[in-house]
Amino acid sequence: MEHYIYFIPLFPLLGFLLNGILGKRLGKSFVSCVGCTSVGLAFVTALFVFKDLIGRPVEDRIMVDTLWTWMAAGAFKVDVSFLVDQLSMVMILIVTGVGFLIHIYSIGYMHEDESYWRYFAYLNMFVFFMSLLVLGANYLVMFVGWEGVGLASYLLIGFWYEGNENADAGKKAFIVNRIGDFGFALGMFLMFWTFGSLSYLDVFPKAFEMYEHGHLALNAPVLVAICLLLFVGATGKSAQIPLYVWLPDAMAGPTPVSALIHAATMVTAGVYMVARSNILYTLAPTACLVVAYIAAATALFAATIGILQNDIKKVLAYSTVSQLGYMFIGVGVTAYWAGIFHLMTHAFFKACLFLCSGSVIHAMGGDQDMRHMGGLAKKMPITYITMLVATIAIAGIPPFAGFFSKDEILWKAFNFPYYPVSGKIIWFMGTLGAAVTAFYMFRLIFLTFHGEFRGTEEQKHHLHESPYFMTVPLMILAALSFCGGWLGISPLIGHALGGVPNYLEHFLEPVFEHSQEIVATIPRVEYGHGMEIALMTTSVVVAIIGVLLAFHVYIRRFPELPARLREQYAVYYDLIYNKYYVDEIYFRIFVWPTYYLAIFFWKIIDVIIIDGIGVNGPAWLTQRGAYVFSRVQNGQVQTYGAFMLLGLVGILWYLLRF
Amino acid sequence: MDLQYSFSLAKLWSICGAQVIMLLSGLVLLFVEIFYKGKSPERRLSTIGWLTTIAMALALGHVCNKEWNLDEVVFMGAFSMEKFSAFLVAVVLMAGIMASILSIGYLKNNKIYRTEYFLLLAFAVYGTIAFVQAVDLLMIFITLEIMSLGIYCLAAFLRDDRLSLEGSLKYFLIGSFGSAFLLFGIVLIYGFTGEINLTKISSVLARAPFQHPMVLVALAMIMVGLMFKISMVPFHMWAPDVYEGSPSVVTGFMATAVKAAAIGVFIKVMAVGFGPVLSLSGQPEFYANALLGALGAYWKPILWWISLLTMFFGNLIAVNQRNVKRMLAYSSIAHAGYMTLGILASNDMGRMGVLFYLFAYTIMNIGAFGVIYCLDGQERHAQTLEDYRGLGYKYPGLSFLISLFLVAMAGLPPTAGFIGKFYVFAAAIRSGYLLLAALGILTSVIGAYYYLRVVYMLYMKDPVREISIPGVSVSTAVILIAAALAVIYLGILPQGLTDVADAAQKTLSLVF
Repeated sequence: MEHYIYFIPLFPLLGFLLNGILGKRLGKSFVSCVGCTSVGLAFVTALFVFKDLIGRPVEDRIMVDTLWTWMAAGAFKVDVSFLVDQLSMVMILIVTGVGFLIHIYSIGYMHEDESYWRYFAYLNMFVFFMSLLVLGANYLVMFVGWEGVGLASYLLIGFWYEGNENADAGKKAFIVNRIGDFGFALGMFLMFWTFGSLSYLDVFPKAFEMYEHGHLALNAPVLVAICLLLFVGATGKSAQIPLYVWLPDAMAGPTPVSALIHAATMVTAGVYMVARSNILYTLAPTACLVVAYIAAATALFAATIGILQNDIKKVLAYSTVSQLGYMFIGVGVTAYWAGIFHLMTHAFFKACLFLCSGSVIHAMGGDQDMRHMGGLAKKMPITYITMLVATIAIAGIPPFAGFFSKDEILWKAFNFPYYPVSGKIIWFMGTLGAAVTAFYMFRLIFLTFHGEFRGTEEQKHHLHESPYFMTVPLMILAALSFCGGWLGISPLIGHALGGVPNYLEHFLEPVFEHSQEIVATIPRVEYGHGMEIALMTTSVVVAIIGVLLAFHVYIRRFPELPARLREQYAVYYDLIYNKYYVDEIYFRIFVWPTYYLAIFFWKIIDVIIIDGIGVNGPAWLTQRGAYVFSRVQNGQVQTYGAFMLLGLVGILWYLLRF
Repeated sequence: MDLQYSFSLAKLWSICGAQVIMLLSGLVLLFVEIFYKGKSPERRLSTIGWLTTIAMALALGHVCNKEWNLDEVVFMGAFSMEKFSAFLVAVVLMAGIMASILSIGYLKNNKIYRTEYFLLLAFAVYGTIAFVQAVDLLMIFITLEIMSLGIYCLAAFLRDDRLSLEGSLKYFLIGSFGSAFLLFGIVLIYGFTGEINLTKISSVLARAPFQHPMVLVALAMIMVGLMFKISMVPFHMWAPDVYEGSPSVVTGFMATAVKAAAIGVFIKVMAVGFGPVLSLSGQPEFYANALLGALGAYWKPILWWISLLTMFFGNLIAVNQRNVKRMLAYSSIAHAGYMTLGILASNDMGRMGVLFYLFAYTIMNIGAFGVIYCLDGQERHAQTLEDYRGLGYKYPGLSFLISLFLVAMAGLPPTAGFIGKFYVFAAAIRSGYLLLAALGILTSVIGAYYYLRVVYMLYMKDPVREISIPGVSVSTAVILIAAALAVIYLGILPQGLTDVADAAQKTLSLVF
C-alpha cells in the first residue's frame, strides 16, 4: 500500500489554502493551529512512510505513488508521481521535522505581526513545494517544486514589503535564481534529448545500462553538459559561486524563514538534486571536478567574508553559503552519502543557530548589529547554551554533529577517486575553511554573549529570555546538533567505540549502489587508518586554533586588538568587509548592459524609428489633440508599412537568392 | 463549366452550422436593435449583450455537440469542418462569449450605450469562424476582410477617444496593406496553378516544378499577409498602438480570437496547401504531395528568424512599457513567437502544442484584459504600472486574478501557460531546433520579469494615488473566476485538452 505518500504534500497544501483564504478573518490562534498542524501531520505521515520503508527488505525499498499523467505526447510522458526511497526519506524527514519545529517557533516570533496569516500561508506553501521537490519521481515534478520554493522564498524575503530594501532583496533572489533555472531547464531538455525520459526510474538505470554496454563512455560530453547545466541550477538555488549573491541579502526576511528556507531546507535542494542524479555525475568526472572545485572555493571564500560581518544574520548567511560548499564538496567527490549527511547535521545546527539569532534579535528589539550586543549570556541562558552547542557543532569539534559529517567529507575529498591531486587541494581548502569557520563562529558567540553590553539603556532594560514557543524548538534542535552526527560515525571511530555501525551510510547505500560500482573500477591509492587519523586530528586541531584565536582577539584583547588590526590592514579589511565588491562587479558587468540594451531597443527602435519619424507617439498625440487624421497619414503608418515592406523584401531576397 | 460541387442544405448545416447561427443571429439582432427600446439604456445594453452571448453559446453548442467524424468534411470546396477547424472555432467562440459578457460591464463602466457594439462583435465572430473554416484562398481572403471590418469598427468604438480612433485607423490602413500582400500572393498562386482551393493547389504544385520563383513569391506574400494578422516581427508594429487604443475587452478579443484564427489558418495553409500533410490522407491523388516537404527548406529558415525576432523584440520592448495594456500588447507579440516555434517544428507534438497554447493563451489573455478593464473603471483611468501600486490590498480579488493570469503568461507551473510553453519548446527541440528553443527560453526569462513586475507593483508598493473602481458585476466575476480555475486546472490536469488537441491536429490531412 503506497498510495498515501501524497498526503505529505497534501497537508501543507490544505494548510496554505485554508490560511490563505480564511486566515485573515479567523484570527491568530486558528492560523497558528492550521499552520502547525498541517506540517505536523505531514511529519507524522512521513514517519509512517519511514516505518513502512524500514519494514521492507533492502532491495524493495522504493515506493512509487503515481497520481495522474501530467503531460504526454507520443513516447514522451510525465506523470505526477511521488517516489520515496532512502534518499528522499531522509530529506522529507528533515523538511517536515525541522519545518514543524520552525513553525512552532514562528508562533512566538511573529505573534505581533499584522500579516500573521499571510506569513503562515506562505510558510505552508513553502513546505508544500519543498515536499514536491523532494518527493517528485521525475525531474519535472522536481522542477515544479524547485520553482515553487523559489516563489515562496521570494514572497517571504519581501514579507516586510514596506522597506524598499527588502523588496529589492526579494527581487535579487528571484532574478539570480532565474539565471540558475535557465540552466536547470536546459539540462532537463538535454536529458530528455539523450535518454528520452525525465523519470528517475527510467533515466538512471538507462544511463547505467548504456555505460555498461559501452554505449555511453565515461565522461561523455553530453553527460558532462547535462550535469553542468543542472549544476548551474544548483548554484542558483544553493548559493554557490558565482550565483551566491542573493542569499546574504535574503536575510531581510523574518528570521524563522532564514532558518527554514535559507539554511535548513530550500538552499540544500541543489545538493539533493546532485545526490539524486548521482549516477549521471559519477559518469561525468569532469562535472564532478567542476562541482568540487566551485564548492571548495565557495566554502573558503564565503567563510572569509563571514569574518568581518557585523550583522549577526549576515554572518550566519555567509556561513550557510560556506557550509553548502562543504556539502557540494561531498557530492562532488562522489561521496554522495557524506554530502547528505552534512546536509542533515547542517539542517540541525544551522536552524538552531538562526533561531537563536532570532531569539537574540527578538530580545534586542529588532537590532541585528553585533557591535551593540555583548554579555547576553546572563540574560538569555537558554539561548546562549543552545547557540553554543550549535556553534561547537558547526566548528567541527567532536563529539558534536558537525565534526562527523565535515570530517567524512574532507576525508572523502582527500580520497577523490577521479582526480587524486585535485582531491588534496580541495581537502586543503576545506580544512583551511574549517579553521576560518571556527574563528568567525566563535567571534559571533563572544561578541554577542560575552563581555559588556554595548547597546542603549533602553535595549538593556528590555533584554529577556524568549517565550517557550521559541526556546523549546531551540532545545530540541540543540540536542540534535549535539547527537545528530552519531548516526553516521565513520568505521574508524565506530570500531574504536566497540562496533558502532554507520547507520546512515548503510541506510543510504542502495541509492548510490551503481555509482559506487563505477567508482570502484577506478584504480587509486588506498590510504590507511593512519592517514585518516592524521587528517581527523588536523581538522580538530585547526578548529581549536580557530576558536582560540577568536578568544584571543575578541575576549582577551577586546576591543583594542580588533581596532588595531583594522587600522593596520585597512585595505584588506575594506575588501573583505565589502564582500570583495562582488555585488558591485556584477552590477557593472551584468545589470548595466542589460538595462542599457533594453533602453537602446526601446529608445532607438521603438521611439526614434517607430514613433520618432513623423510623429512622436501617442503621448504627444494626446497632448496636442488635433489633426489626428493628418498626422496619422503623414508619418507613423508609413513607417509601419515601410517595415512590413522591408520584411517582405528580406523574405523575397532569401527565397530568390539562388 | 461542370458543376464541381453539389449543394445541399443539410450539408451546409452540418459543416457551416456555427457560421449560419452567427450570421442569422447577427441579422436578427440587427432588427432587435432597431425595434427594441428597453426600459433604460442599461437594460437595453444588457439585453442585447446577453442575446449575443446566447447566440454564440448556441453556435458553441453546435460545435461541441458532435464528434466531427463526418464522411465529407468540405462544403462546396470552400469551408471545411473537421476536428482541427472545430477546435479553433470552439476557441474563437469561447473568446467571443467571454468578450461579450465582459463587454456588458465594460460599456456600462464607460457609459456607452450604443448597442451596435454587439452586432459588430457578432459579425466579427462570424467572420473569424468562417476564416478558420475556409479551405479556399479566395474564401480565406474574403472572410479575413469580414472579420477585420468588424474589428476595425470595434477598435474605434470609443468615439471620443483619440487613441482609439487613431489605433483603428492605423489598423485599417496597415491592414489594407497586409491584405494587399495576401491578395497578390493568391493571384500569383492562381496564375501558376489555376486553382484557389488549397488541396487542389497542393496536388497541382506537387506535380509541377514548385520551386519556381512565382510560387516562392506567392508563398512569401501569403505568409506576410497572415503573419501581419498574427503580429509577427517585423509585421507587428500596428499591434501596440491598436491594442492600447482599443477598448480593453476588444483588445482581449483581438489578441486572442483573431490571432488564434490567423495562426490556425497559417498552419492550414502551410501544411495543406504548401506542405506534405495531405499525402497522409491515403488518397492516391495526393501521393505526390509528399514531395512538397522540400518547400520546407524555403520557408522554415524564414520562420526561424521571424520566430526569434518576434520572441526577442516582443519581450524586450515590453520591459520598458509603463502602460499595462501596451505591455500586454508587446507580450502578445512575444506569445506569437512562441507559437511560431510549434508551427516551425511542424510535427504532431508541435501542432498539438500550438493548439493547446492557443486555448490556454485565449483564456488567460481575455482574463487579464477583463481584470484590466475592471481596475480601469473608465478607459485610461488607471492602467499604468504606477496606478497599480498597492492595489493588492484594496482589491485583493481582482489583484489575485490578474496576478494568476500574468504568472500563467510568464509560463510558470502549475498553470496552463507552462504546459503550453513546454509542448512548443519540446516539439521544437524534437525537430532539431535546439538553439532556437534555448533562445526562446532565454527570452521567456525576460518575460517573467515584466509580468511579475506587475504583481510586484500590486503587492509590494504603496499607492501613489487613490484609485476607486465601480463594482464588478456578477457575470464578469463569474467569467474571470472560471478563467482562473481553467488556467490552474489545465496546468495540473492538462491531459484532457492535450488529447483533444492531438486528435484535432491529426485531422488536418482530411481537408479535401
